[in-house]
Amino acid sequence: LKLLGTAPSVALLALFAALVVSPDLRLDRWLPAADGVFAAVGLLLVVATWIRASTASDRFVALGLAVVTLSVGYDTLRGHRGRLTLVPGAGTRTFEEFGRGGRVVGGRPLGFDLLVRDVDGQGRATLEGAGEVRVVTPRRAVGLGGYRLGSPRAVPTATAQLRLAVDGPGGTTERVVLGAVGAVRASGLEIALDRYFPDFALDERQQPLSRSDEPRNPAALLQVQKGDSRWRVFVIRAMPGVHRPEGLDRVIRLEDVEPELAVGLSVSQDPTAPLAGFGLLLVALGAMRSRA
Amino acid sequence: VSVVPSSVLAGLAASCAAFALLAGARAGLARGIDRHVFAAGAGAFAVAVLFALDGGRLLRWDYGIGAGSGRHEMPDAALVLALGLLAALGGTLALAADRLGTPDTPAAGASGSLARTLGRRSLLAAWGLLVPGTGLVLLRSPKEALLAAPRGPVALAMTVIGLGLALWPTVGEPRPIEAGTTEAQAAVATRLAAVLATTALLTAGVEGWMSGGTYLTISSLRLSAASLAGLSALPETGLPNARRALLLVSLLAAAIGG
Repeated sequence: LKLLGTAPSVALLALFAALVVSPDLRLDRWLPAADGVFAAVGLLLVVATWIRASTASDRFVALGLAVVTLSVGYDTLRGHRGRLTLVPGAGTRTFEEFGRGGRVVGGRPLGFDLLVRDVDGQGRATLEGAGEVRVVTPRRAVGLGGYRLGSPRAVPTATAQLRLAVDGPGGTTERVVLGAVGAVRASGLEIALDRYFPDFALDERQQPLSRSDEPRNPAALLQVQKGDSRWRVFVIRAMPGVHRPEGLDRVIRLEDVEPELAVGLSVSQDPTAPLAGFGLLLVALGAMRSRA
Repeated sequence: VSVVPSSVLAGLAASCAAFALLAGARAGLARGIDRHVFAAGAGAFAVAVLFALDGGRLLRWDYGIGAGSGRHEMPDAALVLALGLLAALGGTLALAADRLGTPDTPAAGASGSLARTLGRRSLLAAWGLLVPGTGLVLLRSPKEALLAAPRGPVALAMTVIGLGLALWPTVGEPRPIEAGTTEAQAAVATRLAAVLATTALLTAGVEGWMSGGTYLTISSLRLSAASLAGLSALPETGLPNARRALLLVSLLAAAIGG
């Protein structure tokens, strides 16, 4: 124990701990049981600084290190981290939990009903849950029912409002907005949405698909009716008026789309976070005069 | 706490660590350590940075900022920086050869001093090339590309500053330095860097908690490593400058990497 309390031991243990926690070196990739190694090094460092402590400042550092090591260890083992995505008006009671290395380990109950009231393009969202209504922004997380929800980001969904232009005979153009449900009337036509492709592409069998939910190359298949005649019209923003079915004397163009947004939120539960902050404060105060 | 961002505190801590390293090096010079050893060390560091820059493309006389469609090619800077790399490599090898030589015989001593002169001049030439090369990178890069991929240009700037500071004592006659005073300055600056690193870690934890909902973020992990490196640099034991250098590197990683 005397050897552990020497200056070289403290310096070496602190250095080794620094190498283990560094996210840039990624020692956990080849170090077996990296969490166990870090816990062991952390505890050895706490013991070494405590044995070496001879002044109040030294003890501040040792005590602060002990508090931080135990807090981080507890939050790593007993805390929870995950993510959830919700569209406005939808609710959930669970979130997708991440385990070691960010892999998904399954759904975990929140313990309350979480509802998203609205979301804007900047990711600002109004949440309702555990008897409270809170607004979460990219700069401000909120606490609900023992969890903290933060880092909101607006995520486009696979549904959108389509802005269509219908060119009629005589050079007239009528513009309408078509949603996922229902039909609209324009230039004597009744138009409804059959399928929407936010990021249109063709697979190897020439079948249409969407590569993502991002509206990078939006296209849609429309059901068009005029009297007793019916057509299926394909529209794509990149090629206006590309499809002109026989018998239809109108040209339908997809001018733009406005995707419906969902909000993606990180969910965390770190029960001893304030304690870890207090420990760091002790280390900082002690380090001003400590010989470590 | 969020009035001063953690990255700014990490930058301040890095400045203190850099000062501590320089003061420690000056104390080493005062104790009789060969001033060319620092120049060779800085030269080796510069060569390593230039080798790693932009995925090693300087070896093919190529350099650019960013990746994919946002990449900005800089052939003029690549030419100057690649020449700087060659000069730094030559200078470092010459100084290393001089250090490893046996100066016991007059012939060996003479060749040693020639290698030393060539090495020093070659490193000075390298610095003279890296300054305009870095200037080209910083001045001619689009602002968006610089903000999107700042690591390479910042690493270049730090290399130029570090190499210049290491070469400074080799220019002209050695000046008398009081070892005790500079070592005391180094100790104070190291302590300040360690305290600032821990304060930056505390701030990063609060920032993560306030915005993301958790204090266990990549930024706080980087600053944890820097804070532990600070604790490792405090005890009065062997290799103080090596420990200060590691503290500086970890703080730079935290300040640049975010």
